[in-house]
Amino acid sequence: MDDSAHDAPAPRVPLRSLYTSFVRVGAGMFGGGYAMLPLLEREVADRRRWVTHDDVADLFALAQAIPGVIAVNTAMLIGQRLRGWRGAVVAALGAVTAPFLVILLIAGIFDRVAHSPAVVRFIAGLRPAVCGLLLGTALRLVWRGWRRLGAWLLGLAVTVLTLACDLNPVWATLGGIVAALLIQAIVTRRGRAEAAG
Amino acid sequence: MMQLLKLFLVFAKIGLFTIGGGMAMLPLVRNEMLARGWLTELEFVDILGISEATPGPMAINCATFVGWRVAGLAGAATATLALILPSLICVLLFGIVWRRYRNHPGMARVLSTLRPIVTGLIMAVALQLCQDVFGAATAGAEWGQLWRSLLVAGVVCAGVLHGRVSPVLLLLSGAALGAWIC
Repeated sequence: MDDSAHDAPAPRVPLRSLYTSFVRVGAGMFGGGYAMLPLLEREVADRRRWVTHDDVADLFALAQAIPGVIAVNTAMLIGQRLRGWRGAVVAALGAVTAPFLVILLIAGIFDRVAHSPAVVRFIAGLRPAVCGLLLGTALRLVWRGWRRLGAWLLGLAVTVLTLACDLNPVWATLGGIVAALLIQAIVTRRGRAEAAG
Repeated sequence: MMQLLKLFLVFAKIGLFTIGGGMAMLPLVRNEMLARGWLTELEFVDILGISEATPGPMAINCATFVGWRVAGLAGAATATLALILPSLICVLLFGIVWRRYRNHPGMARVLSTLRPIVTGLIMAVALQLCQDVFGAATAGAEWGQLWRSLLVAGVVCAGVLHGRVSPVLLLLSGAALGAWIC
């Protein structure tokens, strides 16, 4: 299942350089998601010239529609474009290598240092900072995304249901997908009926 | 062995059921970690802080950390790989047909419906986090402590809304401010 032949007429990218490139991207990936995009473009489009900037933008858009971590999805899609399924696996492993090692290091010492006064103090400061960060991020998403009244009501309903009735995120997501497909089917059918009549 | 299997299933579930990436995973990650007893409310906040300050998406960092905690190195590897496995399968299955369906109106409708849902879920987690962190100070009636925490959260939140400063920098300076005044 090597579809790279049609997609990439350029010389085959060695899996080893694919891996090291994505290790590099993964190591600088603070914050994930949109934050990794400039880094990724610099590595695969400017430095390596494996794909164009448009390709990166396209694959990044697709990555949002696939379940999972957007940054890792983007890495997989670029890897797949270049070297088929092997490329996807190698790129994904590269992208998680650095985060994995850093967290292992922290996890290894966390329980030992968690009670030292300096760490306790830092964590006490870190906690409200995390709250502020997440609240700010959520507000920005609301500002940017809830342009229409329907979106406002839907988002608000999800927030209230989650806080009040412990709405499960899986059901919220699945419900959203099913509802969207149903509405689309109705809209399509109505459009067809109007075109026929 | 049972622990590894459980780690695998939980993180594969998280990977499979979140569309919209990092932040969209928070609600499910928090749910699952608290339900399994793998993290406490405040530990979850700590992991979130550590994740933001270290490279890598939060969900990956959380998988590695919790995996390590539950079952050592094998656990860390299992949880991390389980998280990305569903995406890998989807990439291999759907990456090829994407070109045919990317302009299908159903796809656009699903994405535009999911966006406010995901935002609503993230907003709920943000509020739950505030409750977890500020609730302790409120319950103990330590009002001075509460005000100082609110100040730190407010400063960081304002910084994020302003939008010009990197979140990592904001978080670390917020934590430093908190460590200094709290």
